[in-house]
Amino acid sequence: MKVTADRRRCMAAGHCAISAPTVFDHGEDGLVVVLDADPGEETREAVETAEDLCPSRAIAVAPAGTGPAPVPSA
Amino acid sequence: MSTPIPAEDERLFAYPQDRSCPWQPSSGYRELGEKGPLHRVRLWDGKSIWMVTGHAQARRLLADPRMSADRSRDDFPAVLPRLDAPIFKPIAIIGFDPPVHDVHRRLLAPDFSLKQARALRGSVEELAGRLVEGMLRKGPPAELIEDYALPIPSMVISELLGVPYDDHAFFEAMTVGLLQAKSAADAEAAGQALWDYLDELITAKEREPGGTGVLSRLVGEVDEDGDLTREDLVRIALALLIGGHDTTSQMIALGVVTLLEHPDQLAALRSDPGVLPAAVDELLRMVSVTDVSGVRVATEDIEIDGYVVRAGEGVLVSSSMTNRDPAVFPDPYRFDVHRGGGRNAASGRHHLTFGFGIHQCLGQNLARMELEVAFSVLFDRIPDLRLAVPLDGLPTRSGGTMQGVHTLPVEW
Repeated sequence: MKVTADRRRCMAAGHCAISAPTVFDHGEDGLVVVLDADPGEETREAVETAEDLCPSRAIAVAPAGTGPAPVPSA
Repeated sequence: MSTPIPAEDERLFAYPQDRSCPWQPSSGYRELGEKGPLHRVRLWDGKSIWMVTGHAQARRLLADPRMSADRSRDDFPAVLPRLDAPIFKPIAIIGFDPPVHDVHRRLLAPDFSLKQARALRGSVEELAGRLVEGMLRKGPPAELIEDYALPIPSMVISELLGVPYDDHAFFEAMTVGLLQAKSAADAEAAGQALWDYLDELITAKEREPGGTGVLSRLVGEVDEDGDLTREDLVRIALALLIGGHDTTSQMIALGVVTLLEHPDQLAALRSDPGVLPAAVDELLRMVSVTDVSGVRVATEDIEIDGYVVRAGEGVLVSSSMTNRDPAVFPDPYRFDVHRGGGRNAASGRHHLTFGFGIHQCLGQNLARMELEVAFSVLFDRIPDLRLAVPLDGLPTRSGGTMQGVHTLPVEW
């Protein structure tokens, strides 16, 4: 599954690093860092929770069986 | 097209209404929420705004860039008389739109990040332990606000900012004066006293650079022609100091009350410490301590699920009611520490107590950590804690939106 995160949108809420700690982390500036841009399907629920909870809509996940992740949408 | 309901309509639901139970919204809100996701309500000044009780609609509106948080706008609603005070127009960060909002928020992101909250956990555990020791030494009864619920967030935010904790009695009293004021004049007086205090503190930090804390760091970033003016810095200090202790202390207090009144849930939490993060989020959902997820004004006409929010109309998102939308939270009035299901560490976080969109609470990582520590240390050390007065005898805040108790007498 393809995962992207837009640091220009990130407001450092931290939900993604709690929800999917093997996929997302935060840098020294507090903003999101993608640790694994192509995680296995076993993390899908956690990654989709991260996408859903992100208050500034900075995370995008490609649906199962599709190509690269789309640009995050509002 | 014209707005269908006249702004002066006396028949509209009057907002806000006091709770009769510390962890449940008023029955009036409940009846309103059952009618649909958006409602016209009337404020103290006779003006009417939208009150949002639907969870999905609230998320969409709070994340919509056409909704402005700019409190200096003439059409921004003053939900309470105190919010008409000039000191609230504007409030740093939460009262600004992009791009200024984003610049100031990012300036503070490292200090309020998840990593920072984790790094502070050990010292907060020590602090909570010391406070409980003090209560045990003195013996019952104790006043939980003064002895425990207030000093935890108050010490944490003063240390983080670099505000001397020795001044806590002053800044705590002025914060309550500002947030619980029944008039704009009273709010302005308390706010001005805090402003003067922080202005002087920042002057001292300018004279002696190199101190610890967020304010000392930001003093070095002030640029009158840049992104952070000195006035911005005082305004940010004010917002962080106020936002950093009152709501968290009342969330600790009302969380303790909610747990004590649900002994089965408290027992479930104590028997499985792994459920603590989810239990804290369930308490945040139930108590909805600020009662409001956010207030905005529409800058354009916005269509949402058959409703039209017109440009210039105010919108208030109710956290207590969106947190009880049955489409997201089945049996929503029930307190259940296992509600999140525990499948994911973030599964209890769908509530809107911290808001949504770019203004979601800056201090939420710090607040969650403080709450986890506060509940676990207190109930570990004093397992037979109980209220020292009947529930309906608790002196509760009234006439506003920020929930709380003036005192919380407990014994063991």
